[in-house]
Amino acid sequence: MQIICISRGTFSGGKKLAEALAEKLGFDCLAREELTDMATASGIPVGKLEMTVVRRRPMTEAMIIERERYKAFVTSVLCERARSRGLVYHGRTGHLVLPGVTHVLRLRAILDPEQRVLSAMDRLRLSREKAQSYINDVDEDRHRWVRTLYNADWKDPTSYDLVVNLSHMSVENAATALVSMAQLPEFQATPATKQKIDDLLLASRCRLALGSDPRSRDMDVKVRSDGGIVSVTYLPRHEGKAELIPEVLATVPDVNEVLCTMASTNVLWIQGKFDPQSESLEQIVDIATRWNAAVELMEIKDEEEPASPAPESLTPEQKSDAGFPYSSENGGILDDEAFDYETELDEGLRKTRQRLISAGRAGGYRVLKGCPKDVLSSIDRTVDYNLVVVGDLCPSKGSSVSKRRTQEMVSYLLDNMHVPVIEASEMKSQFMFGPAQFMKLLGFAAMVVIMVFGVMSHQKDVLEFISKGTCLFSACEEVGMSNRILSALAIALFVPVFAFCYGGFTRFIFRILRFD
Amino acid sequence: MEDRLQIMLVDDEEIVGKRLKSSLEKEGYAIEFFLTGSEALKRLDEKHFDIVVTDIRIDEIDGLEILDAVMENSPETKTIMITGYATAEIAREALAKGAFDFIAKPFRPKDLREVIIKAARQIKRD
Amino acid sequence: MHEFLLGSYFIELDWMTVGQVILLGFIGGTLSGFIGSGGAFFMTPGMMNLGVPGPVAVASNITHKFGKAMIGSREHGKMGHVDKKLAVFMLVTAALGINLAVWVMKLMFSDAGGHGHHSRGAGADLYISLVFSGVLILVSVSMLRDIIKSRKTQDSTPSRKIIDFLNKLNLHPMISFPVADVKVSLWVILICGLATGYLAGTIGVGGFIGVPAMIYVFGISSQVAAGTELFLAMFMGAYGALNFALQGMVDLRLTLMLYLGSLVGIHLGVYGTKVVREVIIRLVTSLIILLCVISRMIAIPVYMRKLGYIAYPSDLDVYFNMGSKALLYISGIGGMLMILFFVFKAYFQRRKVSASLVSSRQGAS
Repeated sequence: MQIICISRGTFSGGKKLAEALAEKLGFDCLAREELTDMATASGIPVGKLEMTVVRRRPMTEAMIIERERYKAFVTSVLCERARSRGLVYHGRTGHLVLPGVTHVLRLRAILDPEQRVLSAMDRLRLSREKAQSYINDVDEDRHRWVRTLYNADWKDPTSYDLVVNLSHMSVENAATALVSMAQLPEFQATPATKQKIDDLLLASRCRLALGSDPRSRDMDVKVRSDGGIVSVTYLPRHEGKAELIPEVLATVPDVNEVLCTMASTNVLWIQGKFDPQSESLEQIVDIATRWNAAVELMEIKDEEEPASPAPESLTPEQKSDAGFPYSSENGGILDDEAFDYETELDEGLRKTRQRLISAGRAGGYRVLKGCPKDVLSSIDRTVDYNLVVVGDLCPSKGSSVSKRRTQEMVSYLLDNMHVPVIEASEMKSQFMFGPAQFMKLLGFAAMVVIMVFGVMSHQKDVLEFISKGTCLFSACEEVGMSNRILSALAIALFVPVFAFCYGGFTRFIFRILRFD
Repeated sequence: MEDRLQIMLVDDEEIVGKRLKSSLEKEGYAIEFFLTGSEALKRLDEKHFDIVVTDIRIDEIDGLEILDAVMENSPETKTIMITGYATAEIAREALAKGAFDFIAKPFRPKDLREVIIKAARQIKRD
Repeated sequence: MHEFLLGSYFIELDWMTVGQVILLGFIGGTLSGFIGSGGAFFMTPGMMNLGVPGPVAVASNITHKFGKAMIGSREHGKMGHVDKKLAVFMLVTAALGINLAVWVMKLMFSDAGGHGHHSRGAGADLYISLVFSGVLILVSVSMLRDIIKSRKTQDSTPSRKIIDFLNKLNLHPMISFPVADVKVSLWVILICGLATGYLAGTIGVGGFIGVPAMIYVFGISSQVAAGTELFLAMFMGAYGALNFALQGMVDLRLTLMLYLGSLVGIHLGVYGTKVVREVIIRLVTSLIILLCVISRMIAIPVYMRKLGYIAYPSDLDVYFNMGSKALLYISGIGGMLMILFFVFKAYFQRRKVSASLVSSRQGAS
């Protein structure tokens, strides 16, 4: 069902807005405070997590595990609630809890700072100065909280569908306006998003099961689910406990298959269509084996132009229809397909996954459609990715379109993820060792040899050139300043060039030795 | 007045009081433990405490009200808030109202002792 | 050739010396790749032991550092680990610090002037050694204390005491750094930058102070601290290299030899940080620093005797100097061997491929 998340600052009126909106729509209303109480009651030390953030302590290993449990708890509660009825959640990070669920209406409520200070003064009985610093501190705490939990910027307006400024609008009227927004087709559940919610729910239940079992409690694991197939990645130091994972997860209902991979880091492979015969697959398996990484697959389905239907074509029957079509002309087909590919993998993806499993490097998979922004929002930003590989995005649309899309994706992810992002075709030159690399290696080696021998066989000339014009010798006055500058510049140029050549040489040598 | 540090402990769980009391008394502090806010407030009227350690969530009168009362009657008293349900908002509110420090449950008695030592040092300096 | 090389600033290179310089570079590179900064603290004294005059050793080393930092910061820049705004602030204040250090050094030289030619150098040496020991003891002991503490409490992150204290003070104006995601008071940056520059100018190891300062005082994550430090080091190194080159003190041969060893060492060191646990990294780091400091402290009596502060037979100098050198080599080589041991252990362990566990429950609901 429908999910509306309102992100609010302290004393910004978000709570009232959420309550009013829930009442008008007849939805459940869930506050962050209720959620944290539930989490604490179930044994997750939310208070400790909060204090870690409030005191600006860095996350310890133990705290990271608690953070994952808390996130799983929040996800499971929101998914459970949203499955049966519509839900309005108000808190800090509702808009980030359900990555990849595109029909969530994400709102942010803001209010004029002066009004916030006044209500803080009034309600907390504080002096103006203290109320002001209270609000600043709490805002900063929330900012850090969102960073710590989801590695996202809380204030970034582009992560919301709408920012509601309640300074000049009554809560009541804002809620009325939002009711009609909530009825837009973009915010209705589709079979695909329902499937996504089921997956998130299953993954979070599995994570919670692992977190509450005393034997696997202290394992730092990431859990993903795709249509009942649960992928768990764990760190090498927990290798001894790996056998426990399937055992613990056997108690969780709806789990069809459990796949556990040991990984100290992750590689994300985004592609339009996976081909088990491709060269890229072998290259990625090779890189992942070298790096001890798990490879996560992300298949991007071709998407027709994302034209949303005109509002006037809406009829009340369509609104309540859960499987509302995405685009007016062929939406129904798209939706059926969306439903199918989640439960039944296409051949290429299945075989690629099989290959990764047999190499011990599988890290889950997912299928989505959409633009780079959608890809980014469905990536868990707290996962430690070492490399993102982008393959052909739309193989069906011809090479020029595909190339452009691929490059767009690469540059978008590069700007936003702070990890190396490369095209699949570059993988060879970046990480593998082939004939081209061999030639480069030879070139670098030749340069290095020439430079070293050049300097070492002309030691006298070199040293004379370096010290010419300086007062090391009595010839101080004879040779002028210009010579000194010349020799200084020559050194300043020569040294980085040598460092570059020799650096390239050693990098290739270590690549051959698989030391990277 | 005794030279022992007078500490008031408020928590609605008997077990918390027992455990903390024995641990703190070993350190040579004089501890009085209360299960409810109203008892604590009554006692605050009668006697001066150097340090008040209170849970935030107790029935009827909560920890923040105790904090208010302490700040009003004897602002030199250091108040330490403990709670399992800590959120940044409550912590900031308590600190803005003059609480000395904040401890989130679950904690070890040692953690509380450390905070009390810090508070005691501050009292001496004042 | 002989006359030209000997008796001036440049030493003669034979195969033995070449080998030793390359080895120095390798050890320095391994340490700096693993620790994240430093290496100079080992390479400069090492070269001086080979007979390279102090200023030439420092000059060749700075030139070497400049090229290395250039490559390193490019890599870090790609990953978004360089906060350029912070780097600019640090750079300006560090430049001030370096000038301050140079000025103080000059002052020391002229103060000690009365004690004759020999003691002038000794005065500066004593001062440098004292600062070096004082600062690095502080760094290594606090690191060791953190490790021992974390043994008990199971957490392995840097302490936040200083950051908390500064947060409470909240000195205006606060400047926010978006890449590193911190807000730091201008005054704090000023003090840290000055201190970093001052120490870099005095003992030539800026990174040792800069990186911990950014982590412990500003509260920046260690990757961003390392990246920003490399970016800084590039400019400071370029400035130093140009200055020394203008005075004709850069021995290009030594710089090249250092590269031949260090770039290989760095790869191994960096690989080590990926496969070795954080606690061990910090344990090894603090032990190496501590040994280096002790080595420097053994040399202090020699300078003090030269200045006439203490008296003992001058033939004992040899033993102090030898002890100092021996300890330096022990710390460097021992550290390197330790790192290589971890690296190769992990390298061969990784060869054992472990397959994914699959458990399936077909048909169950």
